[in-house]
Amino acid sequence: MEEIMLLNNIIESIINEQSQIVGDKLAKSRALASGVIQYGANGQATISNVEPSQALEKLIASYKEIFGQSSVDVCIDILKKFPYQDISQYLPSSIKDAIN
Amino acid sequence: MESKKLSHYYTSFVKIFITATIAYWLVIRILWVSGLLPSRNYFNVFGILLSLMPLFGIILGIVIQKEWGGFHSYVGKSLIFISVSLTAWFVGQTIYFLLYAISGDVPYPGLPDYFFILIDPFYALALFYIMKYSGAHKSLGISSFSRFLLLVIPIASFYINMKIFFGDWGTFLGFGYDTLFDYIYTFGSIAVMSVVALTIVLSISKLGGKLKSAVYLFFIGMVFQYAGDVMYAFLEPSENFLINGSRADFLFFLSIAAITLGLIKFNNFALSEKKE
Repeated sequence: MEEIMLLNNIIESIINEQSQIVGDKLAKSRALASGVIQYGANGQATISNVEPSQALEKLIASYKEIFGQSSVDVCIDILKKFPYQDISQYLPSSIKDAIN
Repeated sequence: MESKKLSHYYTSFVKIFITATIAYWLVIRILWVSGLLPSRNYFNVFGILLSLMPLFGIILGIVIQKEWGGFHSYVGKSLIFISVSLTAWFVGQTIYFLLYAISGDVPYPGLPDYFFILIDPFYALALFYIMKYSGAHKSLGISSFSRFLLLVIPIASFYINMKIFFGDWGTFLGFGYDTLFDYIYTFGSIAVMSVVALTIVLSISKLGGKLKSAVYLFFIGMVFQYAGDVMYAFLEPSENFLINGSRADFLFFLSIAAITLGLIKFNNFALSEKKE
């Protein structure tokens, strides 16, 4: 349960930060376009049935389409705010390299 | 679906307008240089087209800033400030053209200049937000080379601009009304060109994706604006100076056209995200 909460927290943080850059509408539509995020009736973003690392990778790749590495760096900065030992198991290898 | 269709027609029309106006200017310019142009009025027609050009960008900017979060996002803010710059362009250029049509002369500094001087400050504000989403802002915070550039580029730009616009430093000693406007224009150009150069250098390894070209079109537009200012400073004292349709005006047209094409790319991206 805690694991799911942490993952949803990461996802929400990334989408919120991207909202500050591209606006709420596009940040949400990019999240949906990644194919791994769904929105509940309460407006909460959750990961659909995929591996957490795969979900994060696809979400970040979806934002990368807008401004390239600059958009990826925004996601990395958000991930750095979480304790590494708590989230390392969910991180795709490319992001792990960038964080370390 | 209807809004997508409307947007497609609008952006296609703007692209045709840009291409046709560029072709028109090149043809009349060649005819004029060859001594075959029957009247200078053909250049006045270009003056009207130059007045209209920013209007297309303003309409686009107003419509698309909402899709990009308006004042709640960095991209939205940059699009709003670019639209305000284009509005200053539109109002200034329209007054400039009307003054010329009515009296045959445009005083300097005159009413249009009160709008033209607003172009650079609003471009600078737009650039401030472009730095934030292009990756330049992050580089600025972490690299000592970036901090070095932050110091060197404005100083170099200041020196080059003083040489171009004033020739020597003695101009600082005489302070008239026209000199005040010269200073405002020059320092506006220094600020904008410095930030453009910095943003390009600092974001070069970061900025990518589908909107990289849109941001670069903004940069190209700002560089053409500067080139137009420089060209204007050189041409204006000449006896054969064309009040409408000079080479400086052509550069200004290219500047606004590039910025409008950048806005079209932001528009197309936002539209492609919309569900049918």
